[in-house]
Amino acid sequence: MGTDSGPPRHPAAGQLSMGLRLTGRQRYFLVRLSWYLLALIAAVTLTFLLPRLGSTSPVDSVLASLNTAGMSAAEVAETRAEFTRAFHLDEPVWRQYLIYLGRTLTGDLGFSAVSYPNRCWEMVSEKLPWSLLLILPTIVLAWILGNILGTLAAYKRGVFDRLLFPLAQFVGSIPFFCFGLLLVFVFYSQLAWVDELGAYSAAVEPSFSLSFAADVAAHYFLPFASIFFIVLGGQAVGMRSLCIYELDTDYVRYAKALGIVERKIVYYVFRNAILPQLTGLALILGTMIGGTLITEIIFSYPGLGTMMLRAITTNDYPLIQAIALLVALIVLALNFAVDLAIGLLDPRIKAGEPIGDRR
Amino acid sequence: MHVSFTKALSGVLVRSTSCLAVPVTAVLLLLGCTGEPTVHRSPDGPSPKARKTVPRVFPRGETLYVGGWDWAPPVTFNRLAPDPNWPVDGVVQIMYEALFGYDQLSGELVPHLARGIERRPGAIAVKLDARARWSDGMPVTVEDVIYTFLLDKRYPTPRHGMWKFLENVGSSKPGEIVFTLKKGNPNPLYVLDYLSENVILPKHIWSEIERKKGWNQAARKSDYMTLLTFKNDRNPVVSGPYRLISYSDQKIVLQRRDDYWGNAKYGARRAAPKYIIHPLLSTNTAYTDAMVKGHLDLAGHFIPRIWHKRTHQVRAWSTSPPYHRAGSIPALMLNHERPPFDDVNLRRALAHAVDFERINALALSSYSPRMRPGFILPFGAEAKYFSEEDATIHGYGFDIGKSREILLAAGYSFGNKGRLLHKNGEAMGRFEVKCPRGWSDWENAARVLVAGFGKIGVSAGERLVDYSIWKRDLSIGNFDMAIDTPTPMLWPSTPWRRFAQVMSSQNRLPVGQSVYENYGRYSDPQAEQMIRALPGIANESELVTAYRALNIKFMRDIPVVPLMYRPTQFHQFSEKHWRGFPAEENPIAPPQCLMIGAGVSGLWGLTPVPRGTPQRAN
Amino acid sequence: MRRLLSNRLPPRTVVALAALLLLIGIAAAGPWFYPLGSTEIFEMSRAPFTPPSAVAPLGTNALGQDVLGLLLLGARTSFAIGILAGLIATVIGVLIGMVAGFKGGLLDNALSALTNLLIVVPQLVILVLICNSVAHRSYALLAAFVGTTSWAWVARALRAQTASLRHRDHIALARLNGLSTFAILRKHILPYVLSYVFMAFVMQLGAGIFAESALSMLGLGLSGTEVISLGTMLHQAVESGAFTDGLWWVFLPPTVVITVTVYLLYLLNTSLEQAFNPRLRRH
Repeated sequence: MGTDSGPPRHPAAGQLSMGLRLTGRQRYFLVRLSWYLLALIAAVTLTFLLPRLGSTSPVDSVLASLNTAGMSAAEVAETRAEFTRAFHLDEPVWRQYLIYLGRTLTGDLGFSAVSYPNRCWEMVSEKLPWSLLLILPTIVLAWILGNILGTLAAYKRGVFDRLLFPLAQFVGSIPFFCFGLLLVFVFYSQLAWVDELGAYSAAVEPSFSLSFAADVAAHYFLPFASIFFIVLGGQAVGMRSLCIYELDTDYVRYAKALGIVERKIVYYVFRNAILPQLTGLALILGTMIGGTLITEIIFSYPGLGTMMLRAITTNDYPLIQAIALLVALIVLALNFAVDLAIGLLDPRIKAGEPIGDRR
Repeated sequence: MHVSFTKALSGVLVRSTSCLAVPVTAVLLLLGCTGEPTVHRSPDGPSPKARKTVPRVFPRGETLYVGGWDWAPPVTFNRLAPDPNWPVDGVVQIMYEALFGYDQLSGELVPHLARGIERRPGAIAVKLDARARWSDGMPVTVEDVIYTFLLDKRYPTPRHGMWKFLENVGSSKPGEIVFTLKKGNPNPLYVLDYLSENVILPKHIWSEIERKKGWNQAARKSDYMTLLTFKNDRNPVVSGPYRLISYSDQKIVLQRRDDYWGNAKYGARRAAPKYIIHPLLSTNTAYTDAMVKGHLDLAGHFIPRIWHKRTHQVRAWSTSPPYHRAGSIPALMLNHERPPFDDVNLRRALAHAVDFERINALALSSYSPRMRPGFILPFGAEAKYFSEEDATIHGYGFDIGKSREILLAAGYSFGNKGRLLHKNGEAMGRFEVKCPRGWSDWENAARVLVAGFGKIGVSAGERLVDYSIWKRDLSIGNFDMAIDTPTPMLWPSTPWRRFAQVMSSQNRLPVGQSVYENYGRYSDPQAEQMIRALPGIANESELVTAYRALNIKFMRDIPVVPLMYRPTQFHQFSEKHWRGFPAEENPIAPPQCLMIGAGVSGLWGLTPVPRGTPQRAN
Repeated sequence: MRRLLSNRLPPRTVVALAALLLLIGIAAAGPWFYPLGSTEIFEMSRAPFTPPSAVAPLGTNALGQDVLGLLLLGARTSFAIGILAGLIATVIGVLIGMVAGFKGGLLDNALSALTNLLIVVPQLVILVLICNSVAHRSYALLAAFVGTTSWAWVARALRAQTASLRHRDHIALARLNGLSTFAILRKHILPYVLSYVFMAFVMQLGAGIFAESALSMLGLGLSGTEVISLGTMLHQAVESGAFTDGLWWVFLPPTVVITVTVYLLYLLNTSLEQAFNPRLRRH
């Protein structure tokens, strides 16, 4: 490691930095990045192996949809062989894995087995924007507003807090699909305030126009609401607890006793309280990718969820792998983005202290 | 305090979220680039007059919305693929046309591309309609027909199997195609089926496609898998009244061809809807909801409790029970290679333990007319072959007491808790009723079956499996009992084909090898003889006698247990935006969803509901 | 733990606990007191989709089965799956979390990576993949699947707690005395984190019920002839088109039960958090 004798470093970072002088923050990011890459590879391997556990392959699905009436057993076998060869399913599993890895690294996600000749990337890229549209703005907005509400409740106490807290607790704990089903029942089936499910009207062709955007927004409202309020409630409750905790700490009491300006105290209180909430944001964004699966199905929203379910039930290996890879990448990217934010905000990282969970 | 607090709060929050803003924006930008959903648009047609761009909004009064044929993003419109999308799925005839279209009500073959048909010894001759044209102006010729049928011979397409029954397809006279039946296996019925469904492709287009798009460099020949990479989605040359103009993962859009050659058949009128759009929703429930809200005009999927939807102006072929015209008979396949299903007495006992009324109510919303024993529909075009007298003498019905009598008389006994015992006194094991997962009507039927069998001491349970597993297990004979509809349509060959598909042992293979008919491996020489002889009978009264005999054999032997009468298509429509649909009181076309077989003619009978007409439930 | 017992439990905790126990009690014992036996409930003897009446207080479903009877049986199954899954997840998570937090170093990093893996791939996706491959899914098998895929957060929380405790004096003493890792964990760390373990279990219970319902709603959950869970009730309701026709009694009861149960568990957890951490209490 050389002859430098700088300040004590984090052991893991020391091994990775290999003699380079890295700031605390850089070390932190490098370590996180390397573990994320590891998690990515593990996730990719898991979603490669799991579908192959079952006894059917995508060729079975293709043959099932083929009307084999009149074909002799030999002819059916020949068709089966053709498809099996085309998807390398006759090779040993480890070779399939290597082929898959090799292709993926060059950016080729291959053909879908059941929807041949559609390419996996084409199919996925059509759905991806809708999934992201459903998840990102909803959760980020709910996170921001929820934290604001939580802190207001922590400070204001009184009637506001007594009303908000139980309500937020209740709304924040409703399972996503229950809420979605209820919304569909009330606003779509019964009251008919919402006329059509899906991403946009079947009567409209997509275009870069205001009218199309308005159409999308109208269809967006219910699915948005089914996620927004729950996350809002959860965040409000969490932030409220954190703020109450922080307000009661010694350093705040001491600062108040010293007569430090309110603004400065509040600033530090929130800077400390927001950190676990940011970690929480990463966790929510990660779990929501799975949570929206059912939301998309309930609202007929054309996202990755429906496609994933169909891919899994038809054993479409290449498509399952493509979607899982994409989802893992998104979750990791979002986690990394949150880590960026934490890294910038948390002074302990700057100082290069051992990293533990903050709470 | 509040003022400073909110300021401070917003300060911190802004700072922290601005750190998030960069990566989030990056992601949103990324999705903006993949952004607008991919819509595949066909370039305009060859003639300048046909120059029209795909509109931003489809006028409601000119668009017919249909649903229930596809659920996933479109894959291919290549008719040679295993599972092409609507409208190239093998039964719909509004884009490509077949030689004929079958009319389920009358039992006749309505000429589409053909003009007439003639049965000759060992062959079938078809006269082509000289007026038929492709959308690029070229005439539809006998070469096109011959080429299309030969395509299915050369490649393992879904219609490849028809060459078991065909010797040759050729032409001796101009405008006439002769289908020569297979010498050792002359079966005109199967061939007629194919004539009524096999859509014809243009040779001058597809021979090019075969050469260029299907060419496999490595193998130095055109092969199937490479040919499948051609999706046929850019302005395909068609002969039918509609052509594909655009599609996306949300919908498939067809536009009317004003120069369709067949308009002459309707007094030079055009089909009523200018656009036919099939939105792609992910579940059947979504289609039902869309229909109830007036966003769907025609639906081909199973809508339960259609009478409940009357207030939304949604109805089926008829406004009184059973609402639909039935045409197929889902049945319980029994594996004759697995004892005790090889015992005819047990099979008869099982047939008496099926609560048909309950299955009808729970699985099919009571759309099935009253079940009669046997495998011939007691109504419609088959009614003439059905004999009520035979049914009474040889038939069966839901009667638990009778079922137990049959079992006792055959030497079975009942053990403790009423469990059925084998003739040698051993307890009978538990059986599985296999059924594809997600088909709620069949799942419910399986439940009723299991409950009924429990009453005669047969221990059974539903086994819900993946669709592909179910299909595979049926064909290799890996099941105790399984629900299936071997003959899902009405064809020129029904009811014979329905019998053949469950009783013919001509292509019988042992359990473990794939077969495409008679999954239960039923085998009886007398039945075999009857089945082989029937397709050759031309005399009507002889035919009636032959069918009666075959049906009696069926009722006595029970190779499979019929469960319900099911419609071949669910002909359901909404009268919110269009009127004049084919219906019981307006039979301008058979209940074939305006697009299948002879149902296509219904498209000329529709009229849009004028805007502003008050919506009423009639 | 001692703190909890010495202080008075806040009223919210008592209410939540009482309501929860009542719910579980009804679910567990209800079917015994219900006039219809289990076989009778599954029998499809009544007319389908009849609205609530004196004979069937919650009406009948698509198959003509009594909804209230199904609800009782379904709640029992769902709770059983939740409890079993919760136990499995808690045990695994506590073990992994404590070992990772205590040992630190490479073992900690490896276990954290394993935990991260479960966070990166959405639990529901893994569950769907597994359940699709398994033909017959009994309630025990489902509980096992759910339990073994949802321990990640428990592990994380326990790891953090253990890590913060690990430098205490009595642990250094124990180490000097030559106690094995597991003995130290058991005797010197577990008592301090017991409150977190309990809270984790409560959370996992809710998560287990949620995961089972979600899976069953997709049609990949509980399978079998005479078995029912709250999720499969919802699945049947959706499949039979009850929403379109406004037949609320078919799907509203299971939805309400799931929501109320998860809410009560959540309430219990937050009030326990207040009980264990006096700073969070409001006076």
